[in-house]
Amino acid sequence: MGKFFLNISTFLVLFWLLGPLIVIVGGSFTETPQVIFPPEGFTLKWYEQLMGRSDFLESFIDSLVLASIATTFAVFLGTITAVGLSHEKFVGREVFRAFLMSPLILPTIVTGVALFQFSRIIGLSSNLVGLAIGHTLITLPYVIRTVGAALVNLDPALAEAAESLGARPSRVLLQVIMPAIAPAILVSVIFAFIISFDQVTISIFLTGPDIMTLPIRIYTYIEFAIDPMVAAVSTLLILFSYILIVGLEKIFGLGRVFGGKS
Amino acid sequence: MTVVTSEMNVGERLDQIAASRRRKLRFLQLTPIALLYFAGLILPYLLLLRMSFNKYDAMLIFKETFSWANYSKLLTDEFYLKIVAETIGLGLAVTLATLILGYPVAWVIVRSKPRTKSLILAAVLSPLLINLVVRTYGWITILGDNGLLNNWIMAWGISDTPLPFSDNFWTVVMGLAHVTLPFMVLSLVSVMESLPANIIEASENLGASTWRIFKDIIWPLTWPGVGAGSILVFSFSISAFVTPALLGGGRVSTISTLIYEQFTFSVNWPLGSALVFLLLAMNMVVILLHSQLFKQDHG
Amino acid sequence: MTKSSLAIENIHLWYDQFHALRGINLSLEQGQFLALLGPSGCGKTSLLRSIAGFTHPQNGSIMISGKNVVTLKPRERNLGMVFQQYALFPHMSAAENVAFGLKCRKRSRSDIEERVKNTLEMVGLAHLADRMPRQLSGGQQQRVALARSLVIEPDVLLLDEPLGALDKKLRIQMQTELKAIQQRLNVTAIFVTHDQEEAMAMADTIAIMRDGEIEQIGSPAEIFSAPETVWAANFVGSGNVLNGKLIANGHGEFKIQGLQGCEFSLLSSCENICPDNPVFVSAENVDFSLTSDDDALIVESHRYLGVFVEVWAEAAGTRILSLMSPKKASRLVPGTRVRATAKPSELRLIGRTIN
Repeated sequence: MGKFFLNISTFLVLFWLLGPLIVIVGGSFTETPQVIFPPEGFTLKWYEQLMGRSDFLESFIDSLVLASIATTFAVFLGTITAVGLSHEKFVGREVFRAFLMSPLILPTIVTGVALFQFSRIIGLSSNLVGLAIGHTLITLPYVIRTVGAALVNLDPALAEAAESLGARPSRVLLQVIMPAIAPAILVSVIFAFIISFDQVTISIFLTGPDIMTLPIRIYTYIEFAIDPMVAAVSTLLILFSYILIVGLEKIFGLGRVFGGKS
Repeated sequence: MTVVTSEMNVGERLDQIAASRRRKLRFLQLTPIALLYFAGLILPYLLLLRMSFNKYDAMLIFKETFSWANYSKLLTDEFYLKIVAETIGLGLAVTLATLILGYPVAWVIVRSKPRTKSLILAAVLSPLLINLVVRTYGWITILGDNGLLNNWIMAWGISDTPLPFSDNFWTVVMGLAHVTLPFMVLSLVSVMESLPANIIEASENLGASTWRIFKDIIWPLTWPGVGAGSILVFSFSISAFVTPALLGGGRVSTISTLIYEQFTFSVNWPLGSALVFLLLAMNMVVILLHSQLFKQDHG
Repeated sequence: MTKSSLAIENIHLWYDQFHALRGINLSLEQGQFLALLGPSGCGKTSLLRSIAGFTHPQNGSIMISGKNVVTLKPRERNLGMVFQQYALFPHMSAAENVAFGLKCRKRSRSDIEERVKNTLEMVGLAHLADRMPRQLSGGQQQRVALARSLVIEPDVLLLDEPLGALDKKLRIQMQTELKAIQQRLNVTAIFVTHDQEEAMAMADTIAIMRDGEIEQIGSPAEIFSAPETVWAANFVGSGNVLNGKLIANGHGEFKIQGLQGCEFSLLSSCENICPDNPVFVSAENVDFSLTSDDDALIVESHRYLGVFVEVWAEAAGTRILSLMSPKKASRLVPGTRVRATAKPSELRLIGRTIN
């Protein structure tokens, strides 16, 4: 009895969790002017219509560019920082580490507002700079944590062995440490990219006429209309993150992927 | 003897040189991020703090002054107090909902065979990979006035007019529960995984009913996970913006949506900044409360 | 007619395709202490869990005090169980752990208090009643687990490798205590172990299990001195199980022939022996002596066990083991020719009848 109840409720919860996704994907192929489920007929016209929308295409490019910039900065800076934190202890290291993790704990809307107001007051004209800083800040903690964990698992004797063979610190870093933590860096790249690409709350304050990310484009669009074209772009987005995650999973295994994130 | 001593001195000197070189290297490695955090996080936050003591000015946006007026307005004006209360209510409702929905799921995950386990876990976590806006859009297509549910209801003749599923408090609760459930489930799974071996069998053997096993054994032992999951979900919910803004349809106000309004439509930066610190303070209180509760349970 | 406290008939258990228990029959009198002894995977834990009600045999009956319990839930069976890792409730003190089963039985508060106190006294933990499990040592936790399962006055006490997590010294001490408590309360008890010394030390009956069946059941003396199968002899003995032929030697003595380098003879205590037939013999306390004969065993290897050395010697596919002092072993380096001898009383024919 108890077991039956547990299984049923789990099934219902999973159905509820996945329901909207199923409706979106199914609804993107409907011939009706509204999303209905199960879809009526089968058509790709919403995808065709989407391809004709230059604003959505531009936003897609904007998101790619922004995510690439943020990922580059975050992974570069985060890796150097993680290496810096991995040396012997120094006074205040744990406090500093906690401080570096703070963008995860601070409400994203607050970070968004703070950056928004700051860029207005200092008269920052480019929205891209503000967005890049915001996205880099929000992805850095993941990079520091993932690369930091790999460094903790690294045998300290490795660096010492290289040093004893006469390698300079820069050579130790580039030729000994970096290759050993390369998998973690790759995971960080994909994580940072996904997080930046999916970011909404910070972006909403910092987008402007020169740059508008895809999630914000969808956001402003569905405030006015909810036709199946949004279902089409949403389906493509779902497919996009699915491909990234399956790639990640194929390379590293599901446990490690989610283990790193939680 | 002297030779040995001088050799040791050379060794110490070399160690010192190496240590100071490492310190220099560490300084070089940690300076860039410190600068970024200073420019991108500390300065903007300090500016917000300063702004919260300024005065709103319709022409200049704000007027430099130093007063607690914004804070006292938030804490005395009934309009704002109601929104604070609604935000807290929203957080509590979402926390309770995820707890009720997540607990059985976490239990099933922990007690399943490895294959089923990873399958359910993947299903629970998969919404995390879907963009927040897309997920919210999914709910709008289902719950909106023109949505799926209302289409079915009117097609089957249950009602002639669309039922108001969307744009209310409970829609937002449901939407936020949908977003935060994975956090709750993960917290619960991690404590349930670490329950001592055979603990349930031991209680059954001693004659405990299913209800007693839950009440006296499982619930107290999973309490830390309940606490950790609840604080995550509650903090996330009171600070969430996208879900209340889109699913609330402008009719559900939380501190976050109010902050957004103050900075975009009303351009009342001083009041918006004060709201920000009210929100931060609430988050702080939750964290302190949690650590306090947690201590009591394990003291 | 004596009513047996536990009677198991023809239990069969499958896990999917795996036939874990293959027709187990077992009957215990009140106060009997049974050890289920066998290697891992033999089904001993499955049998214990079936009695407790955690696994459900597809076939057969389990009678406890004359009542068939197979359809009952674990909590309705009134059995006490001590788990390998104790499974103490970490959020309850020692006393609360012990009280739990009584609370489930809705006993009065004063009754619970008194019983908990008495039981904790019995296991020697009265002074630690308020400690939490994590503040107790392994041996103390074990006692709490025992008290917790005894306080409910179970019809049968089940113990799943109860001493497995303790170090050797403590284990031997607990064996004595556990047996004393079991005898004092006269409770029927079953315990699972893979350690034959432990089984011998504690149980009054031993069931040797193999591949889901009971290979042999009897008193420790019977099991040890009269193994019924080659497998049982190998499992309980030192490992010298040999096959040869019996040749009548007159005077009621039989010589074992066909074993290179061995001089073994048996007394005629076994009436049904047919000479000239192949037999299996287990030999304990074999002695090696130096020889220059061709008919000899060759010393193969040594294994140091502290006080003793295991010396293995081999000839024509037969390996024989002898335990000896390190001093003696040092003279028998690998490659040495030796002759194996044993007193007739140390040799046992395997199986009651060999035809």
